Amino acid sequence: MALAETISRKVHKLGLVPKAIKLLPVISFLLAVASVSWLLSLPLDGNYRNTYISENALMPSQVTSYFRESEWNIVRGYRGELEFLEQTSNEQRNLKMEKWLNDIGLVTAYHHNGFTKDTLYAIMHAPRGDDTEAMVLTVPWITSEGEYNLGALALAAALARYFSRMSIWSKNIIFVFPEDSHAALRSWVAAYHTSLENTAGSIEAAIVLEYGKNGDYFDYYEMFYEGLNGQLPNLDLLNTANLIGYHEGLHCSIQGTPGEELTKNTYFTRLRTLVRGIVALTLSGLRRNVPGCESFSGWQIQAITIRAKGSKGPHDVTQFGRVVDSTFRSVNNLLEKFHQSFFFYLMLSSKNFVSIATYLPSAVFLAVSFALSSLGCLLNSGVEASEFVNNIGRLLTIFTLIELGGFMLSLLLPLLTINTPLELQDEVVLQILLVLSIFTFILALSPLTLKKQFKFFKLNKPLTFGLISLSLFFISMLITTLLIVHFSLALLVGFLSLPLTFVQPIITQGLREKSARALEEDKLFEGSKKDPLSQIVSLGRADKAKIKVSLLLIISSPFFVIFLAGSYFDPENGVSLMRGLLTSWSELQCWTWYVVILGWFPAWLGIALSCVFGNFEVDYSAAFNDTKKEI
Amino acid sequence: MPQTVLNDGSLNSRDPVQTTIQTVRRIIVFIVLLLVVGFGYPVFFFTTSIYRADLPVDEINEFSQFLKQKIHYKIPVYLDIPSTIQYSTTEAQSHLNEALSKAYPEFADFWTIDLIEGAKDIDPKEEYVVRFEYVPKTSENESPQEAIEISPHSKESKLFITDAINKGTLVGHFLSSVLIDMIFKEELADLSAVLAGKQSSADKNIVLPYSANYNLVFSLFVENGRSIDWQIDQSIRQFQPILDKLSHFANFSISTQVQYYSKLSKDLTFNESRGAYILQESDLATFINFGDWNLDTHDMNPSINFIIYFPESNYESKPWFIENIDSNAFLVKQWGGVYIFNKDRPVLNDSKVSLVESELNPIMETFASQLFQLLGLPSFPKSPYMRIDSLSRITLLKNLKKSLDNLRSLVKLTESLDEISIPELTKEHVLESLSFIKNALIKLDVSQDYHAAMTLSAQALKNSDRAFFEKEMVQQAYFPSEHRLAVFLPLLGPVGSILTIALLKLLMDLKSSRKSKKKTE
Amino acid sequence: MLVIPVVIYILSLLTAIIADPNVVTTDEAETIISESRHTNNWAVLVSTSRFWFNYRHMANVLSLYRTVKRLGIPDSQIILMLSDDIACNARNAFPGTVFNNMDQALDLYGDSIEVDYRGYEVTVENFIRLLTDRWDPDHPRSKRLLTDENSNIFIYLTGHGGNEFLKFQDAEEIGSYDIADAFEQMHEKKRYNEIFFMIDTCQANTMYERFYSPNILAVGSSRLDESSYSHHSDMDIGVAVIDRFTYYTLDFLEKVDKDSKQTMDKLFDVYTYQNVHSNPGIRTDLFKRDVSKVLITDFLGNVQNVVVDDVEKDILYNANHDEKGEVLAQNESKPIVSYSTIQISFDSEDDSHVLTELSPEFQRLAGLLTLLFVLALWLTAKQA
Repeated sequence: MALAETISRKVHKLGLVPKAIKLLPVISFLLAVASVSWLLSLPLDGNYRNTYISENALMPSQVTSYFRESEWNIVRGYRGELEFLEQTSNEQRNLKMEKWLNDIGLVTAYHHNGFTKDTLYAIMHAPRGDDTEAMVLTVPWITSEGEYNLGALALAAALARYFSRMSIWSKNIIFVFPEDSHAALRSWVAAYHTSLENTAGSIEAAIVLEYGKNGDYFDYYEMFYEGLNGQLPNLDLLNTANLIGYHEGLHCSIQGTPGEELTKNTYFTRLRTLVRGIVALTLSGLRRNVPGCESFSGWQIQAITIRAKGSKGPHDVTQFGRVVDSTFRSVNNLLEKFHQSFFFYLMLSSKNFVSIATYLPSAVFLAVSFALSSLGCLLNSGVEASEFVNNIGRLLTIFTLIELGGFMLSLLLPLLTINTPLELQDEVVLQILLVLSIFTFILALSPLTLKKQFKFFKLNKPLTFGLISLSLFFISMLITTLLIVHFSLALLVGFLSLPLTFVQPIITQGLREKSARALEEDKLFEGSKKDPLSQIVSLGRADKAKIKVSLLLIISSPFFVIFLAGSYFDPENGVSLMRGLLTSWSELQCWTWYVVILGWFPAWLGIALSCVFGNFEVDYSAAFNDTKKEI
Repeated sequence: MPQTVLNDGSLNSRDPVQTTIQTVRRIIVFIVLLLVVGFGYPVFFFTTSIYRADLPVDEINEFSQFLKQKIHYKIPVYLDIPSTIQYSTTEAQSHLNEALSKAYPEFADFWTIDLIEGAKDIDPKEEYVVRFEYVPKTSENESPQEAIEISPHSKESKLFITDAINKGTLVGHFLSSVLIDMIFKEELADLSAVLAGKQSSADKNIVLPYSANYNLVFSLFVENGRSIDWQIDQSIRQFQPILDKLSHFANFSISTQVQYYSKLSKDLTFNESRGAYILQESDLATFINFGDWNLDTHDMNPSINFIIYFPESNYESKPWFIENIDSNAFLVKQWGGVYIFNKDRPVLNDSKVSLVESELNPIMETFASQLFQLLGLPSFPKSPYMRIDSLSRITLLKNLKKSLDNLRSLVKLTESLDEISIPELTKEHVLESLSFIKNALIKLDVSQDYHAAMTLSAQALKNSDRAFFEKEMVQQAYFPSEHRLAVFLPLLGPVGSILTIALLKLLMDLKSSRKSKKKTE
Repeated sequence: MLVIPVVIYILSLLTAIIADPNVVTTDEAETIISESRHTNNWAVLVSTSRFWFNYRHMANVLSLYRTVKRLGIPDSQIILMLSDDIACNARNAFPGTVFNNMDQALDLYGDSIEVDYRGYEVTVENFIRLLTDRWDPDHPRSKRLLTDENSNIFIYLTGHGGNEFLKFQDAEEIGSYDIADAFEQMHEKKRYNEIFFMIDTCQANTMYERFYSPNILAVGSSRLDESSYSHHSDMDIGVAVIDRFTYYTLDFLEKVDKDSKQTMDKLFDVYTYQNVHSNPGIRTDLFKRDVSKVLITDFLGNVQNVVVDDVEKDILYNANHDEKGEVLAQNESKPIVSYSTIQISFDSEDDSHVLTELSPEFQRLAGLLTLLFVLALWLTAKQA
């Protein structure tokens, strides 16, 4: 007790508390910087780990795969047949594939999803297994790049034939042939767990194969692993496939690492992979050309997509098949669900990763940064605490109204999109994006343009600061909630709305300077006319702050970001990304849209509204006292 | 804290409201304390403590320490002395006692022979009888010789006394030496060894551990697959009289089996000069091919195996011999006996072989002898009656000693392993075992009924084993006390700390109020 | 008349003693193999792990099972505890087999395997019960360790272990104190003559350091904080098939026969770091004999002590006939026709193989001499 008392006395004596309160915006900013630095330090040697197999039962590459030259001929045979099917209808393709699978002895069935073409699937019941678990090999007819998935289809048929002659399966194997690996596959997965009659037990792992018209040879393979809503497959599955590939002499590319850089492993390649991974995980499910593995999210299924790249070699198609074979053999060895290794991790290269405990502080710093600036906003407002308490009812009403608005939008906009015919969808999405962007622009620019007399509605001082503070705190809470389940989204929302923390300090600072100057001028030229020059200067200064605020509001607006990001990531200038956001819930049960419209947007709106209608007037005496003290 | 201020000091001690509050508080603390001590602690104790029944340790120790002193073997031997011999029973008794105490000084009061005069109405099958016969010098027999005749059919012995030794002491010496050095020789040696805790000289690990039930398994192992008939049922019947006589010792259940294609694990070499296959003596130790031959009875009781091995070479009239040994039989210690059968006459290739009774009987004789060795019967004298009597007395001592050893081990174990539970059943078995021991000793003292006493000692042994092997005794052996504490700590920690603080406060209150009282006084 | 020439008996005994060729001086005995006084051998073989990826533990224990069986321990005296989920595992490419080498030359599961404790019966409690023999009265004989003071027991454990514990099927663990206490209980109850304890797990040596009962020889595969490694994988079965320590143990034991005179120290010589890739430990302080004089087969085999003494040949005859040589009434068997051909009479000279040719005169003379000799002994003894 005594020690605490001495410390508190000392703190009091030195006036640390007011100083700290004053410095809160700075501390908050420093924390944000720390967050970024933490992230940047992850690819440094010593901060990341090498991948390893955690589950003893997997035993990858401890078994000889006999999917070799003799099977190659069979792959070629199937491929030759499949080439003729490229131009035929989905029904005909499925019929042909079904016949092949039936010939091997597999049970086939169809899933009619009602909105796109039917999905063919076949079940290979493990001859000696207990028929309660399954592995899935998915081969969409069209790859995520829009190519006819020729090689993978032939490979799947040959693998089905090869697997059915082995007696070592303890888990059933399901072969799925959806039209594409987006909504069609997702609806099959959903139906498998709800309505399908022919099932084969709980699915432990799934591999989506993409091998377009590369021919017999390929250069390296790409692996995708992002799931929806921040979910990732167990790291053991990735490592198993990677290790098997490594033993086959194959190079694995993740996060779009170009082929020529696969052998490189430097700080920058790791950082690039890290950043791309974060972005990819945030955007997973929002883009049209998804790799397919995310369709399995939500049912405790570990899924990856592997895609063959290049057509020169030195690797042949059977090697690609052997990766599937050996991975399935490893998964087959499992006795329990994947549980040993990490579910939350960030890859730095195909052989390096950081686990959640290592990267989490980055988002924590960010959340604390928001919380501190929220606190700073309250404490530096110069408003008595009792006044805040008095206004809390109104404050909450306003924020609830904003949230309600967001909620209406969150429901209405996707409905609007989905109910329009497919060919008009892009148009509608573009309209929505435009309307929302214009709205945010107007709102963001109105502090600059709107004259006092046009403010038909005015917030009093406690409400203004309260609203900003609440919005910032709301973001902090949003980050805290998301930081474990969807670290990437939390981090990105945090970074993108970081400008919002500067809004209040900038306004206050601007006004304070202005009033201080005014005070000085009043003192200096008492009774006399104001110097026009100094007036202009002060006006200019105030306007500078207003410009800054407007800019900050614009760059932290979700729709501006969507527009910006959209134009960077896809050629349709954000339309496709917006459409992804609007439709991802109904198609893939991806809730990123709700985080944006119910989390980020209301917070932004709250701050934007308080900038427009708020009252930031500085208490002159207080400001004067402050300045005097400083002198 | 305002309350402490109020409670503190003498100012408020006269305040009636405050005093009631104080008393009520004290009462509450007291009640809680009472609950914890009077109810909580017993519950904790009973739910966590390991049940450890009180074993009669002193009694066990006393018995095992003074077992020899508590056993009194007093074997009645009836003498039939004709008038022609100058000797009396009392003389004989003193001679005998003297000789016995010289040979086995430690046996005083433990093992004695009670010589009783007159053997006319005594059945020599029931009791030891010694008949003296005077052999005078006659015309046919110029120099008659002293001789002993020990009957192989009863417990009777005859001493032939000539003129040369027809003197009191010499007859006495003769009688003593016959009894001590012949009839009871092995018994005495064995008893002495058992008392000393050593293995008896004759034993050499041959004797099977005692059990109240044995399986006698007669097996015919045939090297090839040609079927063989054996008249074992008839031959086995000859065992019945012996087994009947051993019925108090143990129950014997007999089974027979024939197994074909029973190869040895090692091939034999054919010795041209002897015209026979030679089995090396060193190979006998691994003769039985446990891997291929099924000798498992799946019965709880120990088996005594007797194997007749029928080599294939019998069909070629090529016998099997064990190197350096004339007989074709050997005994496996604590296990059984083996006999390698060589057919006397050549077997015609197409005829069915059968082992007839006349062929089996000598083998059965061998097995009987081996059985006697395996059960630990003295090898002398011949009479099974005497042997079995001796066996009973030896086994009685062995069993009592072993029972007490078991009980003592149990006591030692419970003392060295604090965590082991001692269930009530263990105690019951211990008590039963002790009462059987007592009954056996009483039986011995009252009627010298060795057979009944031996049967009781077997019961004592069985119960002492049961006590040691009680199923419940294993349960808590691997549950360390730290674990137990860990289970209860979350519960005990908070409650305990609150209670301790309340108690401390109460004590301080009491102290201060006493002080204030003194002040007021 | 059935008069016994006692002399003959006594003399024959005397001669037998003098002529006994098996009598060896103690000095000689020292130089030969130290004699174990056991009469029976038991083996307790335990694989404490289950699941497919622990294939090698099953192969370890089955290999030793095969070895002790080959060396002569009967199935009824082998307690085999294993989860037994490998041979018929769906993942097994060769159903119904277990191999311990990638050459797949020897199917360990092929011979008749008698598993005593299978699957979920492999528990700490059952293991302790087995050692201390505390069971229900109706527990089957084949599942019990019915040893006595003349039993040598070989105990082999394999699985996943740690510092002073061994996991049993991922569900529970046994501590080294538990085993030590169980051994002490066995010692108290005279349930063994000697124990050879072998353990192949990670940090195996910690398991035997708590033993305190006498006559236990213990070896372990690895020190504290050391792992025990597998030897190699079979790329067709897709798992590691045997552990290093066990591999080299078996490699040695394959050269041992039922009647081999190989000694323990030779086995311990193969336990090198180069072979095992960990530091195997050998504990001999509780063991009274010198390991260089202990036969491998004292523990891993079942060399039985045999006696080829002469046997009596008239026990049954005497029991079935009265003094006059007539068949007793209780014996219902028909008179034995050919029995007369065998010399069985009580005074038959066939009684002794040593002295077969003795004339009646000589017999009498010898009898008298012996009697005198005995008398003389008595007299001198009296004076002394």
